[in-house]
Amino acid sequence: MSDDAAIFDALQQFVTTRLGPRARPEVSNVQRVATGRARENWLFDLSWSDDTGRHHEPLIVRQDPEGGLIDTDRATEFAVLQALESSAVPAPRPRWLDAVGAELTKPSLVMSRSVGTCEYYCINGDRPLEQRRALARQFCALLASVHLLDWSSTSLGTLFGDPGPRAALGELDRWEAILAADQLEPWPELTLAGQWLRARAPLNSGTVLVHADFKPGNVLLDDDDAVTALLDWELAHLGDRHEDLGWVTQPLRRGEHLIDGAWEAEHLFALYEELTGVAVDRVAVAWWNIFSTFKTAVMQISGLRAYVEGRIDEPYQPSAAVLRELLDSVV
Amino acid sequence: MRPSIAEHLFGIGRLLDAVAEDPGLSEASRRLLSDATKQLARLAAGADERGRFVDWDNAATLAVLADLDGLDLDLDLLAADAVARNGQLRQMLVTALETLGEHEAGARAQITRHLRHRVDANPALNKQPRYPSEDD
Repeated sequence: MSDDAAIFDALQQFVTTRLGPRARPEVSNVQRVATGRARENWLFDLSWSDDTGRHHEPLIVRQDPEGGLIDTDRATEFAVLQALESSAVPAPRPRWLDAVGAELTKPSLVMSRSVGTCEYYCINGDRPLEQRRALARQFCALLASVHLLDWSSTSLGTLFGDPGPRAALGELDRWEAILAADQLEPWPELTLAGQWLRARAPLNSGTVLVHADFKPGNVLLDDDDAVTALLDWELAHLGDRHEDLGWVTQPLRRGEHLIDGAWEAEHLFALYEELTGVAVDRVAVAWWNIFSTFKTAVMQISGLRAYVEGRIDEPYQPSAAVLRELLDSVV
Repeated sequence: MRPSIAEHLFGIGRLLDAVAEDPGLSEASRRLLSDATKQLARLAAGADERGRFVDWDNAATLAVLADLDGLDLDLDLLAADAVARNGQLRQMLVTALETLGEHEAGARAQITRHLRHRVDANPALNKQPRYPSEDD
C-alpha cells in the first residue's frame, strides 16, 4: 500500500473513532506537503454531520518524520495550541492528538488549516520597499502579541513552569544537554561558546510565552499580506522575551527579518517597545543573538546524527558561517 | 594514486547525471537523484584536501595544547591514524577548556584563534580552504 493510501485509511479510521460513525465523517483530498524541516505534513478535507447539518473543514496533520533536526514532543505542542485557542494570537486550532502514533503510525497533530502561504524571504523579496516594511511591522506586532499573552491565565504555567530570572541559563542547560546527547565527536567550538554564554547569562525580568522559532517562514500570509496564522510551536516555552528578539535580530538570519537601512534592529525594538510598553534590553538581546547561533549549531549537530543514523537524507553539519559567527562573537 | 578519491567521486557523479536524463524518471526520484548528485559533488570537491587538512589540524592543535601551562594531557596515547588522532586532540581541547575555566583569557584566545583558522581551512566547509599565513 502506498503512503498516500495508508494515511487515507488511517485518517478515515481516526476521525471515525473521534466523531463516531453516526457523524458519517469523510476524509478527502489527502495530499502530502513538504514544509518545514522538522515535520511531515498532510493536508486533507473533512466532512461530517451533526444536528445542525453537514460540515466541511480543511485540516492538516503534522507528523514526526523518522528523524529531524530536533526531537520535540507532540503532546506539548498540542497543549500550547490549546492554550492559544482563546487568545488574540493567530495560531492553528488543535483538533486531535495521536501522541504516540498508535493510530496514525507516527506521533501526529491534527489542526485546522488556515489560508495563505509562507514566504521565508518576503521581507527582502520582490515587493516594493513600503510593502516590505509594512510586512516587517506586521511581523513585529505578531511577535508582540505572543509576548503580551497572559500565560498565567492559561495552562502554560502548569505545562512549562515559570523559569523566572534564570530563563537564559535554563535554555543554555537545555541546548547543552541536546548537544551532549547528539554529538558524535568533540566540538571544542561549542564548549568555548557555551562557557562564554554561561559566564554572561542575563537575568530574565519578565516571563513571556517564547515562540523560539519566529520567522516569516512560519507565518501564513493571505493574498492581501494579512497574517492568518503563526505556525510551528514545537519549540515554544515560557522564558525571556529577549530570546525571540535575539533570534529575529541574529546576524545569520538578517535576510529573513531586517531590511538594510529601512528596517534595522533598532526600528524593530522601537515598535516592539511601543506595542508592549516594555523596554528592550540591548545587552540581553546581544547575548541571545549569540545564543541563537549556538542553538543553530546544536540543531545542525543533531541533524548530523540523524543523517549518520539514516533518519534523514540531508548531511547536516555546523556550517562555516555558523562556526565563524560563533567564534568571532565569543573571542 | 589515480584515480584520486575526488576523480572517482566525480566519475560516479557522471553516472548519476546520465540516469537523471531518463525521461521515464518520476519527479520524486529525480529530486532524490539531484540531492545525491549535489552531495557527491560537495564531497568530491573536498576529498583530496581532507588528508592535508587533518595533518595540518593535528599539528596545529598539538602546538596549541603544548603551549598551555598546567594541563595534564597524555600525548603519548595518541592514535597512529590521523583521523582518529584528530578526534582525540579535539577532545583534549575540550578538556583543556573545561580545566582552564572562564578566566584564563590568553589561553582561551589562543584556542579560539586556532579554531577560527580551522574553520577557514576545513575543506568540508569551504570551496576554497584557506590556511593561516605567517601574518595570521
